[in-house]
Amino acid sequence: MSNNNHAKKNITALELFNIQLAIGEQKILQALTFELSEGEILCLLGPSGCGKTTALKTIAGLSTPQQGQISLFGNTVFSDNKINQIPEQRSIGFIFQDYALFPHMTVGQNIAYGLSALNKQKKQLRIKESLALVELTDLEHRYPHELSGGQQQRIAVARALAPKPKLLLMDEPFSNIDGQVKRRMMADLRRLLKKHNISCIFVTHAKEEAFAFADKTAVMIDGHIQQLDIPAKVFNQPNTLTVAEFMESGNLATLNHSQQVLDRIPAKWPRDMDNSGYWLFKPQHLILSHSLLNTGIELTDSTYIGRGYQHEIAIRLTKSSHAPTTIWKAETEAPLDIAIGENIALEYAHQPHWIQE
Amino acid sequence: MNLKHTASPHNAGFIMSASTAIICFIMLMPIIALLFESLLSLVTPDENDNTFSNLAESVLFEYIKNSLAIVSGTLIFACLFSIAPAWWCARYEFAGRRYLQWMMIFPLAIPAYISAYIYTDALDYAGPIQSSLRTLFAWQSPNDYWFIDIRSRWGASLMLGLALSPYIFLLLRNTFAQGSKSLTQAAQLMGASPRKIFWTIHLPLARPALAIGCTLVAMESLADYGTVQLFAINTLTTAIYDSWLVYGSLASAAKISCLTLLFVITLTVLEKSSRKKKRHFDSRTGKTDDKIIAKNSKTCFIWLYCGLIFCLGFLIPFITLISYCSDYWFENINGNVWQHAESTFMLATSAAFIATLLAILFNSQQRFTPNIKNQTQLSLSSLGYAIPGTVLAIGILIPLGQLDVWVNALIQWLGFEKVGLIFSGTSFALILAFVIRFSAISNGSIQAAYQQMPTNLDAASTMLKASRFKTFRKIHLPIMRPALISAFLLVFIECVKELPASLLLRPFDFETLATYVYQFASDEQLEHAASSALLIVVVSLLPILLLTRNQKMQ
Repeated sequence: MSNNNHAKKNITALELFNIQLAIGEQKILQALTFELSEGEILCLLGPSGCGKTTALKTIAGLSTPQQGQISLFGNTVFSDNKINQIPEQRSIGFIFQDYALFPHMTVGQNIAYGLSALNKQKKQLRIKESLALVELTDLEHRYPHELSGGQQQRIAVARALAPKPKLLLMDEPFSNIDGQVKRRMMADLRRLLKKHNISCIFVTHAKEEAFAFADKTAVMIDGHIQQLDIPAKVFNQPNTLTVAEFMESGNLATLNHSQQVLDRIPAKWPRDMDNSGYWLFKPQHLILSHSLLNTGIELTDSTYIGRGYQHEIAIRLTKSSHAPTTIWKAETEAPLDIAIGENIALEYAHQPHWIQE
Repeated sequence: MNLKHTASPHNAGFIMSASTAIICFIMLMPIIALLFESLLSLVTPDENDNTFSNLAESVLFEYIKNSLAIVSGTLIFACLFSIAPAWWCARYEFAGRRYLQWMMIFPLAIPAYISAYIYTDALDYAGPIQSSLRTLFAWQSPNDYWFIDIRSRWGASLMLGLALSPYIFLLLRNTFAQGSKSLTQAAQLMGASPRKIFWTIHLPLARPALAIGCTLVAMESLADYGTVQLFAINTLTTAIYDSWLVYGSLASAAKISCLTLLFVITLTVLEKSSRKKKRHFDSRTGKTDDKIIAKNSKTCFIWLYCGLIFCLGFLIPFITLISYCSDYWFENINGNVWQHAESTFMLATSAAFIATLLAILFNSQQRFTPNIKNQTQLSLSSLGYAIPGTVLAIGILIPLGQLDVWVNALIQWLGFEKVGLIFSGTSFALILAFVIRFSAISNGSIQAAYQQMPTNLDAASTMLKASRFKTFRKIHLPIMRPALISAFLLVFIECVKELPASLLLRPFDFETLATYVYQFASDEQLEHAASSALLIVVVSLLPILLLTRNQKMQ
């Protein structure tokens, strides 16, 4: 935990190459490959069952893959079953979803558990330091069940950081905390990690957590990473359909199936793209206006969502009244002056994002 | 999620793995020995030993009929004494409910053969009840009136039903108490009456618990030796006992043992299949139901019904034992009692200690390396509980007797004096029997503790650089401590109460409290051993008090 934030050399903290892990017939991790720079916070984001927790456990050495390489700061800790360092030697801190605080030990004893290499004085000093780090100095003699959920989480952080690990792994660390407390804790923890230049990977299924906490986000679906980039780019410019769908990036249209839909939306984009892809229309860039013509587009619902209004619009695929419809979402800051059920016209002010499949 | 570590050929791990495999084999030895002995005598029949064929031709069918009658009779009585009280205690709020729900478990502390003796004594022609009836109605002889004969199959079933009903009561009360509020409310909103809700929602949901309880009761009643022997009812267990001790035919005892095991296996299969048909779903989700406030009339009825069971199952035998004790004070405090108590406690302590240790060994191995081999070993090491004591005793006598023959031959060959029956003729055999029979109890206790302990604690410990041994010592052991204590105590108590195996395996001139009491009971002199009987009862009450305390903590 060095404090020289300014001298950021681009050291690779962790490197995973082509990790394969299957349990029986079921493939959990498939060709999992990525890198993490020192001091960087990476979010593994994906739906439940996509293998993200297994990925963490594999890095920690709690699960053993069948194939691939893992190296930590240049040291190979796993290589195709030829090298497999046991978890105790990897020097990784792990924060579990349920925190896994030892219920029969005080906070101090919990933190001291990983410090058996230190003598008594140094141990005590490190306990104090770790508690100061999470700003809970006066809780040393409490038992875990006497703490609130937020306090337990911070103790778990203190315990994981006390042995000064090279890398911190967190499995859904915020899932048991709600609302405002969660937002404040994320900000605090992020500041702490940044201050001490700690490399960290955390796992979640909530994209809001990835936005608020991570430097980079890796969207993981079916055991491999679909896209790894800064959160804004993953959200606004998804590179596959599954990423766009999982991130709920916006309205999707294929040229092939919705030519007639697209024809009705005045916007500038090259309409001669081939058919193997999707256009992504962001809800906040759609402009809705009342139309007296039969546009085949109808406002079906409007709801207030805090930062503005969200509208549901049904677009008939052809103008015939029996044609199947597709549902799009649009967002406006002000309420619309359009009644539910009325015909509307759509405009799109930006260039839609093209997703090549 | 799999927590598998790479298998670096670890020496300690290999030794552990090998030793559990050997222990597991030893624990299965009795069953193997019984099958082997039976098959052997089928292949090469002993010309001089036709005990089994004699039995089979004459009375064996009658014995099987008796065994089955007692098992089904006991089940009927046990259900009668447990289902309704469990329902009331779980779902109604009434004066004294807290006390009543513990009182319903008390009959567990009175071994059935002690109640059997006491009721025989009380209901006898010369006993207090018939005498006072005769005085009251001025009857002169037994021909003047009809009176119940307790020394019958239904009498034995009643005694066993009283003593075993708490098993079903405990299981059902917990299940009923966990019934979810939303289910009851959903049924109510669809217009179901409370009676209909019980029969269509709660009872079907409790079926797995009922099946487990009934299987336990059935196995215990099948294994009973003391009660049926006192009532002179011949069953499979008495046949095993007689074959060996009266006719000296180990082969015949082994064959009847195998027959009894067949019934045990049938029971287990029935229980499993009854649960499989309806995948039982966890009814513990959501809020548990509020208790209904019982009307006064209902409270009276509940207390009458349950009070009667408590009096018959516990209070009357308990008070009778105390009065025996004070009436025959001198016989009851002679030195033998304490000597037997001491040897019993020593024996039970050793067995409980070993059983707890083995349970830790098997369970922690499965925890650290969860694989099919370790899971199978764990399940196999619990198998002994299903084997009736008499059957187990024969199964132990066969291999240990053979071992003694070999050891003595070896020692003689080496030029030393014979050492006698150092395995089959000492407490070794008895401790082995206790450990095999009751390991299931210690296993269950420790398994439950492990299941409640999140595996993430192990992973967290590993991530903090702890070795397996450190994880076990610093995390597992301290968290499991209450389970260790209860495992030890429960096995201890079962050992103190155990009768049939003790009768068959005890060394010459050696008595446990149970065999001591039983000898007197079968000589119609229980009065002289009442203090020992009381000691058994008091020791058996311990787990109930322990349970009470645990429940309070929840």
